[in-house]
Amino acid sequence: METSRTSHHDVLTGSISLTNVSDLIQFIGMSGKTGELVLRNDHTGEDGRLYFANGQLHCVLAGERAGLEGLAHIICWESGQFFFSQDVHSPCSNVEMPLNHAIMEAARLADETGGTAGFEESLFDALDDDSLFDGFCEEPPTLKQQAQRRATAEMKKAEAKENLKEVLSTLPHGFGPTPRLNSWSASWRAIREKDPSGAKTPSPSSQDPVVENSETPVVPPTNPERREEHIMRESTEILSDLLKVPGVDAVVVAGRDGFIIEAAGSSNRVNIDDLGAAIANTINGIEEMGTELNVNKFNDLFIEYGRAVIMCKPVGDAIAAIITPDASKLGIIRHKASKLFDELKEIF
Amino acid sequence: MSIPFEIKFDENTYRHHVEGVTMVMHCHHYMSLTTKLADSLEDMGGVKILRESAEDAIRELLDAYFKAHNISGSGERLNTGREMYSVLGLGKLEVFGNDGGGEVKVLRSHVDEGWVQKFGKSSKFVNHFTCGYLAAMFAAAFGRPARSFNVYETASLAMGEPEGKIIVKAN
Amino acid sequence: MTVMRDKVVKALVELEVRGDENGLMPGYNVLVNFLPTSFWNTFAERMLNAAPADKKDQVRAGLYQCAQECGYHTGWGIINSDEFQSVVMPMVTEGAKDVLRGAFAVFTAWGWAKSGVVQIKDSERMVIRAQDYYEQDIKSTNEKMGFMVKAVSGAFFDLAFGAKYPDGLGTFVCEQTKGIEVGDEFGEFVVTKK
Repeated sequence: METSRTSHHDVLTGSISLTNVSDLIQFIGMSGKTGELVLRNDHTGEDGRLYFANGQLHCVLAGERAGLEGLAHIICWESGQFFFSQDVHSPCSNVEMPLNHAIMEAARLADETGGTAGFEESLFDALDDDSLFDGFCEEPPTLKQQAQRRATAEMKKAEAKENLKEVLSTLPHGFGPTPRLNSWSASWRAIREKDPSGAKTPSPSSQDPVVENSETPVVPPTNPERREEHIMRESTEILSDLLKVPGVDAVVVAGRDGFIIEAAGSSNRVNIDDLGAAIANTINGIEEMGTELNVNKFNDLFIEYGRAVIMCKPVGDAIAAIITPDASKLGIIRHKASKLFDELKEIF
Repeated sequence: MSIPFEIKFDENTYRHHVEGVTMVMHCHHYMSLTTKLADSLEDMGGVKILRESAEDAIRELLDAYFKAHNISGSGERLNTGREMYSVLGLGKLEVFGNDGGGEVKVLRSHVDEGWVQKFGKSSKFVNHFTCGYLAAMFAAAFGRPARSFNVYETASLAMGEPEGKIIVKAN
Repeated sequence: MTVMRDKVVKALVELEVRGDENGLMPGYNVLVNFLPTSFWNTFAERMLNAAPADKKDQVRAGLYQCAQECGYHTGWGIINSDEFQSVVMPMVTEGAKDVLRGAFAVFTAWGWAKSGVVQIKDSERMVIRAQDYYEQDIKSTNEKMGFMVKAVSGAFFDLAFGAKYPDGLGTFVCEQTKGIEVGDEFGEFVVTKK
């Protein structure tokens, strides 16, 4: 990442793969900047534009998507370039909530839509009650039933859109906690650790810091070697990555019998073996309930203790539990941890 | 008469300790095959290694036990060592001796009887573990360093004798 | 419901170990002894250190076999014991998988290794991790020394998915992939078909 000065604007540029979008947005928010952040997805060639005024996110435009929907789409990007130009003013206002809350909402939406699907297609499908009962049926729904469900879903989408607008309009000014320094600084440290020499990342943008109209060559979407390495990663490494997710205090992987397979983080406050036993007992109870109710296997379990939350998720034959002292970070934790959980599934 | 024997469980490591010495259960299959491994690698000193390993491990246990229970007399120590042998599931001994050595009758033996159960009657002496045990027991009883006593079998339950006999001699 | 290892450990952790009037401990279909771990560790360590290069594999194979037969026969005795039947079997709902979980819980309770199942693929593969096993104390050989956990893991899998006892010994083989004694955070043992 680097800054440079053009004739008109200060410019901050860098590679998304060295940080992540939510951390980048938080950084700009914390810096109290006014300007335009352009994100370019190497994989799809799409551009996303975010406009800030004094650190507050006012507008998001991403192709046909805008506002929270656009942010939910952009927040999942893992590779590409970003360019921040100071003192560019917002062309519109379509984000009506504080930055941190917007990030959480976007992360939640992205999580629900699988990260890449459109907002309308998936968010409201998730609100379709009928689909919740698919797991109760042994027979697949008939075509007629499917058509009825689609019609119901359309009505619910319209209703939900209206409700969402109402909710957003009633949010008080300044809602949501101020972003904490640690999330950015952790990412910053990670970047520095990756490149201790401080040398520039050889990317098109670093060679040409001028933002506007720079012709960025399209980088191949994935690097096969890196992918292979990714698959071969050890569970210890993955747990260590989970710990880097802002807000995560400790991570534990336990067997169905309560055996602590692996643990990382500050779990000194609890006896780790007791925690494993408690998690396994709880999950077994929940799975028994699922079996009796003839529904699908459980996907997530959230246990709240005041502001602290234990989030459990099955990973293969084991259970992963994340402990966070701050429930408000749950959305972003879910989003960022999702791929790491998928990796753990391959191991256990 | 038997000796007090308290096993403590460590909740962190899940190990069991007797007077601070980590202990573990094993079976006669393990002991017999270990003995056989030592025998089959006699050319590289397998039997000596087995005896000395037994002597060093048992010495540590006996020293810790004597200290914890304030046992200082040689006779009492020999007797405690004999009792300990039975408590550990190793068999039953009769011990006669002094600081110059002694004679030990092996009335029952985990090593010998385990061997017979696993492999049948043996054609040679196999109770190397007990030889090491007795070397430790005599040295601990008389306050001597390790390897102060030579120990050898003259009769063996594993070879079909009604009782085993082991001679202990100070160097 | 599956086998809950904390319940097994709590129920079995108090060892009833003491020779009978003959100084012997018959139990679990075998004769049991109770010895300092340092005996087993010192023996393995000194044997490997004493072996010339061309005999080291023979020593390793021997150490593996000792523990393998121990695990197979004692394992059989354990899963057929009154303790196992009363404590573990009521929690078994997933067949062999749960019996294995129970067996490793007993293995833990009796102080062999704080170990458990990471992954089981029926009749194919099993991964075991151990956070505390007594052989981790052996450092001087500069190699993985978890022969006991390694061989017993293989033997337990033999009992679960090999031919009927006593004909299934050696159907599966176990490799130690990580070891605390060589600087890893835990011991890891992978059982596969021989």
